[in-house]
Amino acid sequence: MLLGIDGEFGLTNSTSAQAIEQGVRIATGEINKVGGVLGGRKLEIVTKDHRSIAARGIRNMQEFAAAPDVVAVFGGRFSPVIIEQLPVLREAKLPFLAVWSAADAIVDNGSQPNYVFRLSLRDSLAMPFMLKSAGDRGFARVGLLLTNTAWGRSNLAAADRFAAANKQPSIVGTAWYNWQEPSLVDRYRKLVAAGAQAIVLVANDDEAALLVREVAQLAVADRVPVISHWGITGGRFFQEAGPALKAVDISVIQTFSFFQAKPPALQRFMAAARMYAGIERIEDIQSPVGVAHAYDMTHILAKAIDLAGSTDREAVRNALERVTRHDGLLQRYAPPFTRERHEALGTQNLLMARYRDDGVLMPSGK
Amino acid sequence: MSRPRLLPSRLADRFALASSALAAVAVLLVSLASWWLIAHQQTLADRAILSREQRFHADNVGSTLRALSSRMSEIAGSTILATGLVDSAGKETYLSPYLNGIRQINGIPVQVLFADFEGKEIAANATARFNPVQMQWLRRHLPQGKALAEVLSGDVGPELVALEPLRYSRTRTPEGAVIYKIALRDINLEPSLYLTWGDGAPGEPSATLIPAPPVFAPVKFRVSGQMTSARSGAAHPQYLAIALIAAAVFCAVFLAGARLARLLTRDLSRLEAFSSKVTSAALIEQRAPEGGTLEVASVASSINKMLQRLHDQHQALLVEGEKLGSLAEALKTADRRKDEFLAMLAHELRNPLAPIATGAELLRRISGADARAARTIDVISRQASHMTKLIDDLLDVSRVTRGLVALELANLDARNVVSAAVDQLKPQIDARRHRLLVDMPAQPLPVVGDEARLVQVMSNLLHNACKFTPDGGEIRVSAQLVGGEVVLQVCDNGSGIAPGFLPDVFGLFTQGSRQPDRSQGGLGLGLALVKHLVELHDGRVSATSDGLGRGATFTVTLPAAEPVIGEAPGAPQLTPPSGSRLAVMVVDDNIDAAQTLSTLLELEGHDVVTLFDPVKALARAAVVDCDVFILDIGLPGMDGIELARRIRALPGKQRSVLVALTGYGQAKDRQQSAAAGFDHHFVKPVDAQALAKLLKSVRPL
Repeated sequence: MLLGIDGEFGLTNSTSAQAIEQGVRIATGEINKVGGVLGGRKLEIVTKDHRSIAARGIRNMQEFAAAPDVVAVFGGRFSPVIIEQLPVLREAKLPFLAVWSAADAIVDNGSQPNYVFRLSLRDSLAMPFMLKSAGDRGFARVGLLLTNTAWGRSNLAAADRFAAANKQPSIVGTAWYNWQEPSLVDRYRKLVAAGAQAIVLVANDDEAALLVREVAQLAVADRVPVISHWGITGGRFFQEAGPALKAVDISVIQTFSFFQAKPPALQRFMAAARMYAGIERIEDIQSPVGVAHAYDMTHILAKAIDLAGSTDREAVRNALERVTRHDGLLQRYAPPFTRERHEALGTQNLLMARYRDDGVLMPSGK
Repeated sequence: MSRPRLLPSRLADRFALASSALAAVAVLLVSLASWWLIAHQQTLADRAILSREQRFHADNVGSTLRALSSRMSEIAGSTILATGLVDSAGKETYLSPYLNGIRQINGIPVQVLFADFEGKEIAANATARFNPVQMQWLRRHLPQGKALAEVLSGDVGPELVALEPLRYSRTRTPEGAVIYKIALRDINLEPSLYLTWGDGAPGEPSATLIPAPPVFAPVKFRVSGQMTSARSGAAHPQYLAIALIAAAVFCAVFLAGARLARLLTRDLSRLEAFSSKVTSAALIEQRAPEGGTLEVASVASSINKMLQRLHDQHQALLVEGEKLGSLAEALKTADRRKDEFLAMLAHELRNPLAPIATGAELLRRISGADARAARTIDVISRQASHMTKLIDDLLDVSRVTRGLVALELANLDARNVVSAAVDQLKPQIDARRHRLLVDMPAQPLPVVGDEARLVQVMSNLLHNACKFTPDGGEIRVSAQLVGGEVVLQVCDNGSGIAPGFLPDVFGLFTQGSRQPDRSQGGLGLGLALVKHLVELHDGRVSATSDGLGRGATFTVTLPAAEPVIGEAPGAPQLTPPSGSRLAVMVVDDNIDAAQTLSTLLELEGHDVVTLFDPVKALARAAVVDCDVFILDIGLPGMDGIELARRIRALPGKQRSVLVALTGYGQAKDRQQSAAAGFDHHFVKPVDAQALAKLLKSVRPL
């Protein structure tokens, strides 16, 4: 019985896919240790690398769909890739487990039955939370700096909805950037010039590191805080940003922090993590949300499989909606999913975090 | 030495011809060289222009290719496409519009397609039409992740297809590619130029490599061109100019060459004119002009030296010629004098013979029966007759060689000639007891000739045969008509003629080998006379002999004449001798001759008046009546001719018989004597019997 992971393994400086794999591996380790599923069948992991490229993701997914032993596939960090994969998923009726990607459209894909289940952040939750965080910090005017992808558009839609409902903070402008942009600071400064007191950034680790390095070059007066979506935690942002990070006020939205985990669950996890991933300390966990989400999701899946009583994909999908309760690392899921709700997390899970000087992401309260 | 006249005869013309030929060759060579040079330069220029055009267009195309490559690199590197890799959901909103904005690069339509890592289309511009081969090419090369280009066949001919990989800085594999292409026909070149690529064929004309950007460099685009004929068309007017200039140069060189040839050969021409004048006229006194050149001067000097020698030799020759002329004149005179002397000698020798012969005859008549005296008289008579014959021959030869003999031609019967000769020699033949056989036809053998001379010829031959045949030999005489010719032959079985002597047998004064005793005698005149006389008759004579002692045959051939119808006029009928006593006057300045003749006539019973002076004789004739006047022609003071004319003019003397006596009988003398009124003509010494016979026929007045 195979669990597929389709992630950005080969993407340089990226750690998200590896984090997800860690989570799945630690969880399967635990599961297999106690007899696996369906009365003794071991879970095995198959990974495929799409390097954040949609076309590769599609091909990977086709291959997963064609492999009968694959029960479900975990997705990676990149929403655009998954959005491109949706038609294949629909076709293949392969349960897809989104443990990082945040675009609304991934789950809100319009298919019925919906084979996509998410245990992760959702943009329509994340954007308002980040805007509110800005507002709470007294920034009346913010600017949006968005990636020109389905993910970015998903966030814009969420921001628009927020703006329609809230007066503060106001959005003074939206700037888009494309992949591989050699520079982002002009857009940043344009937004600042437009009156933005903070920049809400929807980006991944490399673009964010670039921006931080560029902003650090600006005069102190020209710098405004950056409130960032969590894509930046999927890679070696801290290392890439380097010393510039100290010069830039950047906070990032998170769903979870091992530092805030409930001790029993954390202890159990750390034991398994030590055993199956060689992780000794929580500070060593890179991309913590990926690990945590995948870990919880794997357990929920295992329960669903058992519940389904087979590896039949449709049965598993149905079972996922019928798992009644799971006490996970993040929280007690009761139930994790329902027929109408394929989102396992909610606003209550959200928090802002900052990089500690040693690169460890610490909850920051605001 | 005759040689075909290919070259003009004049040296100057030859020089002109040679110089014009050389000029023609030079002009031809120069023209050809110019022609070649111009063509070569033209080719070089064409090549240079072509090369420049090729470079220009190569630069243009290169610039287009650079623009294309640069633009496509830019597109491939654009964040819009990069975003497209992760967000193909946005292709309708921004990717396709972005690609659609790319229609042309430097005016060349370009088709662009954005493909994913597998070569599947993500987006493309509106014109993009990539065929399966091209897409296959893309898929084959995309994994290499390198920019690449190749010329592939497309719907509109060859297309330059290239791919520009999309690299993502965070992956090690190409994540997509921009494939783009342009149709090569859209690259505008001069009509004469065309685009080539790949490894050139061996025979490819010079091509200029297009300075292409790295992506296109392996394609090895080149601008090639053919030198068209239109390029070299402009050269034709130059060729015409060359031809005109060449013709003008040729004319100039030809004229100059001709002029120069005349100038250079002027002294030679002068020399030539001089030499032709010298040869045509006797101008050896003049000297050749010195001449301007060393060679001509040398030739002139040589000619002058030769002229001098010629002049000297000419002078010497003139002197020699004068000498020779005077010598020839002297010889001629001497010869003439010899002839005259011979004639005179014969004449003078003959004169004494007449009284001797007449005296002998007289003695015979008066001496009675004394046998000894009679034998002596016979000896004298015979020897006188022999001597007369010798002298007659001598005179004849002398006259024949001096051309003084005139023939009295008449129609004759050759048989009579032979008979007369035989009759003449009969006594001699009989005396030597030869057997004579005469063979003649019954028909006449007509010839035209002088009877006396022809008889003389035959009798000479008979005389010879008789003389050179030992006693008792045999002599054959024949006359016959052979093929229009009358052939007379005298054949003997005598001593014959030595073969070496045969050719000379008819020479003057030639004789066969002499006997020591000179028994044959003679002066060697007979056969020479025969030959001359026969030739005067348009005949020929030949001698044959089988050698010494084997006899000889002499043949005379004369042209036969038309036979005379009727009886030929015979000799005048002599009146029967009357035996009358006649009054006779004998006039001769040779007293002996006159007296012996007178004595002889008196013995015959005639009355004879003898005179030695013509004047006295004329005076006497006027007073006496004479029946017969016998006059010597060669009289002193008044010759016999004049005397006869005067006597005939005397009254009563018209019917007198005038008889002329001359030293030797000649037709001219006979004609002269006949014209002077002589009735008869006798040659000294007078044949007494013939004279007696004549006188017997004369009737007294």
